[in-house]
Amino acid sequence: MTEKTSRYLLRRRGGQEQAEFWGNPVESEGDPALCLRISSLLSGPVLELGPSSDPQTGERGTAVRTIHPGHPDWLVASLRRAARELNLDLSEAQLDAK
Amino acid sequence: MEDLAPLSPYRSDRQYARLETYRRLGLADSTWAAEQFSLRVHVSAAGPPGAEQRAGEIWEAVDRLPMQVKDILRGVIDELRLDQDPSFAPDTLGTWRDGTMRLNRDWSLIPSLSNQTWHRDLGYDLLRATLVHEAGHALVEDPRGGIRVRDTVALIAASGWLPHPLDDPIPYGPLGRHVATLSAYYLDRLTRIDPSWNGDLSLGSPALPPPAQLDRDLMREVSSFKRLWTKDRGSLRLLGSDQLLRRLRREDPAMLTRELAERGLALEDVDSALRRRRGISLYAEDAISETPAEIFRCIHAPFSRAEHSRPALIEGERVLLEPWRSSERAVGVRRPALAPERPWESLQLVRRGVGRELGR
Repeated sequence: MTEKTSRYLLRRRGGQEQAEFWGNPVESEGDPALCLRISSLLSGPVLELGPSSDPQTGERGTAVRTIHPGHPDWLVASLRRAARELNLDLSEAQLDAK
Repeated sequence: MEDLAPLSPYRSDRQYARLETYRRLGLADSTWAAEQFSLRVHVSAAGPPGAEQRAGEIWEAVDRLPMQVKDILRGVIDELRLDQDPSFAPDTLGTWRDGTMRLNRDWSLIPSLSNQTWHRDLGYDLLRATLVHEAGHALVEDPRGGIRVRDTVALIAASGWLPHPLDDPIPYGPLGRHVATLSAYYLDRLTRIDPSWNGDLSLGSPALPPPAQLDRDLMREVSSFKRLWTKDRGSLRLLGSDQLLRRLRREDPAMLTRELAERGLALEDVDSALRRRRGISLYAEDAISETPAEIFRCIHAPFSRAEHSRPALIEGERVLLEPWRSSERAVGVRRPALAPERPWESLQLVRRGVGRELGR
């Protein structure tokens, strides 16, 4: 498989400040340096929605879970969280590998 | 023989009066819910204090929902219950089933949300996302309407669900380039597994297998919970795009290349197919039966990544929104009602001088 690299751009609304994160969304989640850099922006846990099921009744619903660094979904979820907390716009572009 | 179910946008012709209007008139929030949405409301008084305050927050979130979601609440939700945490599966924010939406009123008891340092807007975001997602299930699966199976499969095809290329190479060829041809292929295979998956029936039709069986018949791996509740009878063995990418990355490239070549494929074909369409959200990649409701949520309450999921959003606009918008265009955009649509009570309010406040 060819490499996929994504560029995540955090940009202050109406301003010039911006921060870029480069990485492969599938493989970068366990990168300690990247996790540390993004974690420093956050004031709380990274949350994500997912399904829930009641084994007794079969009732299905929406549950919330905490995602920790190293989880396959951590990178994208934490960047979104950082953008929300800091009132930044998050954009993502998928680029060909170099 | 069941009649073919029409698309059901659940559009209401009634004007909508805001919660603020009711509160200004001294009317209870539950009156607003009952009159504006024909909802029976149950607020559990047991458990931690603050049930009424929590109910107020929920009504404010409902008041801020897009009009289509409000129409779904009006058209297909009969009862809204704020129940205690122990009555839910762990970590559950809310559920929908058979015309009843249940919301967990004790979010502070959910471990992920027990730390109050989280951002003040996050609670609202989660509540809105839950309301829209569960309304999406009601739109897609309600027995009184729902969307057709063939449109459900189109949403799935547009969301990057693919078989492993060694299991089934066909979606990686020309057929997979367009959502229409890929979804027709998936539907054909699905009806071979079980002919009762009639593409023209609504997903909520009692003539169809239950939505959980859709996961079993389409997905490569379903949760142990669903294995208990559904039948094993073959499957299209589809995987979410990220799951599939991770799985392919773990394989030996030389062997994968050789085995793909035996099926007439090159790595580039697989790579192109994976780039073409991506999952709409992390939630949607957990289960195929969650995908349509998640597309609905990402259109109305973007919370998860949707940046590289344009095909799913485009298909969602066509299947989930356009029928409702067509009705809206045909009848005309509704203006907010200046007062509750209750002739007798409104008359009393005018007599008491409140009508002047409402601009009468």
